[in-house]
Amino acid sequence: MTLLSITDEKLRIFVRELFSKRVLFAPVKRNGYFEFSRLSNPEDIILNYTNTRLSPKRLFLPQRQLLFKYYPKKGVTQESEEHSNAVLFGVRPCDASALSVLDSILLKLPYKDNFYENRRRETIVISLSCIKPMAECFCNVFETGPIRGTGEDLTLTPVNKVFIVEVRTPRGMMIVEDFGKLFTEAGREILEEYKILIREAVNEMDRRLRIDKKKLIGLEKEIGEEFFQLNAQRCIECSICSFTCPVCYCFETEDFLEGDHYSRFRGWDTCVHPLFTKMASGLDPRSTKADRIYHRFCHKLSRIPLAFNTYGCVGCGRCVSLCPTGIDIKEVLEKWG
Amino acid sequence: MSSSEKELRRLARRLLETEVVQLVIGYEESEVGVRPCFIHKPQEAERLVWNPECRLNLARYLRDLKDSRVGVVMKGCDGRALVELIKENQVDRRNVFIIAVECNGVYKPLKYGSLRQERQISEYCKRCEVRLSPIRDYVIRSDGFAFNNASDNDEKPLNWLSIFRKCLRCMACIRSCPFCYCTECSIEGFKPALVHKLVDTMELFTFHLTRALHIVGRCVECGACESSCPVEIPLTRLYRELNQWFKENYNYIPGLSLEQAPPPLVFKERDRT
Repeated sequence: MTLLSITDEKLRIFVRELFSKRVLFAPVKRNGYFEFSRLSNPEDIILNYTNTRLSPKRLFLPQRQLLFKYYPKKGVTQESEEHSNAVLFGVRPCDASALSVLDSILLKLPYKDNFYENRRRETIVISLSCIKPMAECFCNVFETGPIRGTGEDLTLTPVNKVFIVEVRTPRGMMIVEDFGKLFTEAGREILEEYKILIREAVNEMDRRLRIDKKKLIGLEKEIGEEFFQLNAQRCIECSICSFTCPVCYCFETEDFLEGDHYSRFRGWDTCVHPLFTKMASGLDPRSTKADRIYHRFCHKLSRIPLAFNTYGCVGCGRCVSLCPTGIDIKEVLEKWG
Repeated sequence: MSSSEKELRRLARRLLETEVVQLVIGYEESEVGVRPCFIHKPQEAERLVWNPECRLNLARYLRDLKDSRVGVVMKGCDGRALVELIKENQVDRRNVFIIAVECNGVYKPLKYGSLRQERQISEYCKRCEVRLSPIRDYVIRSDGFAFNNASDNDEKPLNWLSIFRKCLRCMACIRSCPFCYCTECSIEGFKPALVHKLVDTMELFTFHLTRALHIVGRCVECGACESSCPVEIPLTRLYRELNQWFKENYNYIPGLSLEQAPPPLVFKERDRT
């Protein structure tokens, strides 16, 4: 673990340099909320933001993605992918961890997702620690924040007008070496402050919600539990929870006839939708709302851990805050954790 | 706890104890806000709350509860929606006990990653003139919070195409709307697929205009769609503009009385086509 520091002005230079060399995605103000966007001007970047309304998953798993075109005479042509040398700057640790969760699911052999890999492989992730986590957040539960998560190349933490830079991967080390002049060794006083800050942030989060996440595996046996029936009464079956979730990766495909060729697109789908498991025969293994809600929680907290050794939730709190009917995954954690 | 809240809880408890209703639908406090709740037992009535965070239109749930006697907490707009649903034969008036709560407007939701930090009354509430449900079995006058009547009608034209570009197609607008009850939604249907799921902006435009045309003359501007929308599309503004057109041509404001028949359901020779 190497700790460096960078001043506010030098960080601006760093951003400008990254902008000139690579495609830069960073939080900006747009439409009344914060959003990750491809920067056209490095001055638009906002570093004292809470978190983005929509998760950065969109940049790697777009809501609508062209997979290939099929010409009756020529055959299949694959579309070339854009932004392979991107930088995701200022992402929160929870969202950065979500990318590492997606990596362990979508890049696992033998069913590797090439479209995701193309966008993800070269992307550098530089995260920004949460000093003031929001009321909805519970990243401490899955150890994905608030200071450091998993899946980042560099972690920036604002401490008293400078940023502590923690190098997390060899690739992160390479970036630091590229811009060697901008970074300095962190002084002892700053490091002391940094340690206090980490302790306070972690304590603050632990005060809110503290559970044993290993017990969540037991959710597997809880199908038909009253808790899910009660929440199902409330649920209106929109897809906000899955569409804003940084981890949800289910997709569907659709073919279109476009002039002389077919195009196949894929895009987000959601397991809370009544048609998700409905088959052509009319059979529906998850026919009730309670089953679907149970499935969503169980998949995230029990089945993904069993299959991929990571959790399908990173505690960003988007579904908790954005659900129009207030269905709260934290209640599941409290009840079964 | 405000006195209206106390009265609400007492009433809900009585209704359940005397078995006038089997279920009371109202609002309860959750960790991050207020959400709909379903009360089956008298002792659970203590969970009910009433404040300007009570946003979602509860008339939406009554469609699925046709066979049970339900007590329901209704704002002015919720009651108007219920009037229309009764006229469309979606809800049986005899099965519903309407607890009409005087509404002073609800707050815009403070959602995840919002730039705004302070509470504001919703735009659609500033224009609302019906604060009490037109049909009711019990009236609770409210106190505690003040209505900001300063209607700053911001009428600058909106670029709908760029607004719809934000749309995630999460369908929360459809799902939260009391009037979207088609068993096979034209927007979600496969045969024919009028609007494809994985589409570009023009199809999003079709999607929203289809929906707008389906609910014009029925929409009561309760704002359930707008407050549910994760990307803050000002849908009520669109529906209000269409409703104004409807009022001028058919002289009908939805949800004000049970007697007046809705123009889309009746045929008149002099109707404009």
